[in-house]
Amino acid sequence: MLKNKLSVRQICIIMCVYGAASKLMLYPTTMAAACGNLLWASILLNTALQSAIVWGVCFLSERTGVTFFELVQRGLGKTVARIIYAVYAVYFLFSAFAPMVEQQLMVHEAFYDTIPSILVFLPFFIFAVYAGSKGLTNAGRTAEICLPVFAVTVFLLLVMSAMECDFSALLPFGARKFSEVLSGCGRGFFRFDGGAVMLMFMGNYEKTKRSSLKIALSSAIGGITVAAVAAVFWAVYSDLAVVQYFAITKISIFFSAISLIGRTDLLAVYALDIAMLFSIVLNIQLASYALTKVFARPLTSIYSLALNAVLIVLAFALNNKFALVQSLASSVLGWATLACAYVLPLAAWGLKFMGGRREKA
Amino acid sequence: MKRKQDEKSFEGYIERVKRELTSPDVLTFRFSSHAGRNFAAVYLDGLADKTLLGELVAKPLKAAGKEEGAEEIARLLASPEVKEGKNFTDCIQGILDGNAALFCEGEEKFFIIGLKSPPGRAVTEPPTQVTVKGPREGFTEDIKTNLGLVRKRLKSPSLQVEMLSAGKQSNTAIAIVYLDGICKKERVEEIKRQIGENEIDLIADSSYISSFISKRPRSLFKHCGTCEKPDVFCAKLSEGRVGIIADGSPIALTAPYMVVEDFHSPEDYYITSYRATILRALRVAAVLVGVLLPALYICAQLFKIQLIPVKLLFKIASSVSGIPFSPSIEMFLTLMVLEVLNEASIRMPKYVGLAMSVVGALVLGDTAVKAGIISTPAIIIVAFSAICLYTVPDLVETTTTLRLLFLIVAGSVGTYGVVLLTAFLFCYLCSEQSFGVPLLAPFAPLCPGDLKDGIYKSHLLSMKRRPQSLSPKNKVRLKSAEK
Repeated sequence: MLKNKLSVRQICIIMCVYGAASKLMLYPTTMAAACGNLLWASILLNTALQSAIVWGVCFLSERTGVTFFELVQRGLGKTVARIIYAVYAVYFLFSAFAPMVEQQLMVHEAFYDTIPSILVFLPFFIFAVYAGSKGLTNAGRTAEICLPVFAVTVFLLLVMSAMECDFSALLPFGARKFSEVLSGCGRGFFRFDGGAVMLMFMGNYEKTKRSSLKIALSSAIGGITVAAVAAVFWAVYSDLAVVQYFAITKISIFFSAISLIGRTDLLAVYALDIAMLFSIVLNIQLASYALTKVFARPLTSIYSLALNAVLIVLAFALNNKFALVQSLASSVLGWATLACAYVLPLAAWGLKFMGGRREKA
Repeated sequence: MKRKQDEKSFEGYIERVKRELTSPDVLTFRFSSHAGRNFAAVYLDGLADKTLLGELVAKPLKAAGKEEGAEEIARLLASPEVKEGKNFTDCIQGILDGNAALFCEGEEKFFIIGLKSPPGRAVTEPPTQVTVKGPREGFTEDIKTNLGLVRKRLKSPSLQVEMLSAGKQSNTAIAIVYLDGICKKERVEEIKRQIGENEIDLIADSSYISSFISKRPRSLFKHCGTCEKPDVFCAKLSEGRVGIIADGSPIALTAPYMVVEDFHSPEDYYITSYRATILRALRVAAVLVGVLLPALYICAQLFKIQLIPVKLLFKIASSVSGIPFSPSIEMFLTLMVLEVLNEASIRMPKYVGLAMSVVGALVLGDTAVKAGIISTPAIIIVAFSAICLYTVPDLVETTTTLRLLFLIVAGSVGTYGVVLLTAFLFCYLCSEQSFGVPLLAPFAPLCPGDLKDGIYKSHLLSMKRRPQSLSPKNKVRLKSAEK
């Protein structure tokens, strides 16, 4: 069984590739509905916030050299640390649910000509149980494999779509109010959980020269990629973007050679879906990791099995209730993200100072 | 006491050997010196060289006197390989190994004389690793010949050979070969321990050893590298790997193993780096196409017809109309026919090969299409897939199984199943290790220095360091002036 050690490079790739891949399904469409031609601005704003908090957590990790669990344990005791990690396990479980539902719908639309049964999606859980029990080192390695796949496919899709798009549709910038951009930020806020992810990675990697900056920059690059895809998406569809779900499967549909070579862009989408799958499963891996800390037992497939059982029940219970899932995610999960990915990391800094003072005393 | 003394007498020894080795091919050659002293050599007919026994043992011992001791007798023997037997088990083992046990009248001690000459073939070009450029010698079934081929290339005092024996009944000689100062000693010890932990009757081939030393012997992916060429074997040793040669097997093993090794051909190192890089990329693409093409064809036909260009779609539609099977069953059957033909063509006598080709290609293929049982695209796809997979022969066992798995998943779950299975394989491979080295190294975890000999093959002068993934003791491979 692999351990949870990661390298700075692997964390950078996770932040960039997985951070972006999970946002390429429905996020551009929801942002198009919320902010119109300024959808990219809303994404960039959230990215900036996320990168800042990621940098903060990395810096904290470098200063302390311990895991978040150990930090809380030192400051507030083992029981509190366990409770906090249990909260994170639940948080990551629900963080996996929203993109999982999006993936399910994307699969129905992009992978099949006719709408298949929900059972077609069930093999996802076999994969999720397996990958979820593999630990963080495995997540780092799979990210390294996904990097070239992600880079090549996104580049191909952007090139294929850029030839047929009208970037003037993104103008004028002043056509939308800033409040709309902020509203978009709020709706998509639950997707920017980099701070919480980084909190779990804390103490599981060895710092290198400027590692905090590198990780924060990687997170920013992931966000910029999503913003670029969203901008191209708007440039292709303009006002029609709001009714075009799953932007990444649609942006290159007008590529002139498609009539000759078939929907080869879909092959790129299928390859990109591998990165998307791993980005969803990362949340399960993190939830399993959190549970190992809660129960103080080594990582086994039981955790992943239990987490996926909950996901299956939720998937069946909320089948065909996509709008409800989205609104719950942007409201309830949004607040949870604020707490777990922003407030608690800041509180961790407080714990660090508390610990420092106690040591001095 | 008296009985024990009798057993150690000249006749007593011979009687004991005859009692232990009752097989009629165990022969006793009795002869006397001019002085009248009796000697007996016991050997296995067919394994020991009788001419050498006469020339190197019987002839010199004619000069032996009546009272000469063991040391004088040993000095008279002309054989370069004379060992004094320590106990009776030594004697039996020596005879079974193909050597001769020499007993002398009036002497309690006996000798094991190296006369082993087992029947074997000459050093030839290995059929699985044929090259146009570069050395053509291949390993044989004889461990001594194989070790000689290695020594011929690595004339270094650092080359260490540790001999083990495995197999309760076969007592197969196993050589653990490594370069001291480059290879990690812990790896050698781990391999020795793992071989020693498994007791089996017979080691018929090195693949048995491969199963013993793999952490996951039931895995679809191998955990030990294989090679039939001494030049490749030596190159792997010099990178810091451990080599294992088993007596009776022309396939040597190397550990640790990385999947990327199988995409390398021996010839890559003897041609220009540009050509080698192109060929390696082609091999990767060919394996991907070989494994995925039948599955993707099924997906496109059954679940996402937009993947096929319109003009091609019309062609396929006209070909498949009237076929009584569903596309997945049709592809599965075609694949099965290919596997059967492949298996038959390997096993059948060569003189019926031509007839089988005609039956397979013309009668089965052409007639099946004309009869409307199988469509032309299915045959083209299966044939192309088979050709693609054979670009990397070392991975064929794995890739053919994977192709079948992908086909089943594509026919049942569709495109999403194919994507999920691919992700599953990535995840599985990322978690697998061979002696502490990840199977997907140098890509996951990424070792930038090792990428010079990954899919991209850089120039020999650029590869100054040994692969970091193998964590060799001595990291520098090449010291040269900057060019």
